[in-house]
Amino acid sequence: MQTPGQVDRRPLIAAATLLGIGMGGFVDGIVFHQLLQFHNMLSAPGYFPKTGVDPQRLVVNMEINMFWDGLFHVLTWIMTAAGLAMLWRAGQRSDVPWSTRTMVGGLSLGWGLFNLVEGIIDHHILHIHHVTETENHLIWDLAFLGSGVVLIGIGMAFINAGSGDTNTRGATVL
Amino acid sequence: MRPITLRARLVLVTLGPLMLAAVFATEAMACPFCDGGSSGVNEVREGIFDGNFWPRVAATLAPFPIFAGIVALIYFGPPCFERGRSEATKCASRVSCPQAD
Repeated sequence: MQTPGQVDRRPLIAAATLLGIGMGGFVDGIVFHQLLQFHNMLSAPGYFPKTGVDPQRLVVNMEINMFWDGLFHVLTWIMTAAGLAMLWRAGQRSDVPWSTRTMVGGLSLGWGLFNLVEGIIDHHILHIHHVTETENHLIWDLAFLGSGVVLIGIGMAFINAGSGDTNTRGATVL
Repeated sequence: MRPITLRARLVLVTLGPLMLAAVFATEAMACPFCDGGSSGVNEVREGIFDGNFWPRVAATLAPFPIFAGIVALIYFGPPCFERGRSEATKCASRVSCPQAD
């Protein structure tokens, strides 16, 4: 049972991390898939590549990739929605400190986790796509992982900086 | 008969047209793999729903259980993120748990 003065940051960190994962996925989808038009889900050679194919095959492969990109973004949407629900719940608790630094840290942590986990699994283990489907894709893939590590580091620094924040938002407990 | 509440009216006004549009819009039939049209359409459909459909679903969704696991670990697991717990032992071995005791 809790006593007055006790705070629990974990609900806020978890919510912000989920939101960061979801928003990181949307950055990936919007910036890479749509604006820059690479990094599509099954665009590696052997799947449905967008380079080295004739124009008719290119259209077909792009539409197939769009389907798999969409499926991926369904899950990123679910992550975002779950994060929002958890944030709402955390805001109603009187033992969760309403810390901007913790929130920003969690968002950065989530984004970094997205880049790191997605990069390791899809680029380096499954090889279903790379950041760019070029001969020097390894450099881009490693830079993607590196961005994840940097974002995680920034996130952890913010979370640690917010460890002294104790002001809560919610008026009712649980 | 009960009058329609303001909330119900808002829901009807907001969702009603969207649902009608979803059901009756001819644009929905432009979906490349939803109808049995040209050979290009068939290639898209066959490319998606071939024998490797489920393995590709698994590959596409593979990172998400890991994301969920990490978040669950943050929420339920390491008590390091928590300050002010009376159970000091939970944080005893954690170096990044200042003022936890």
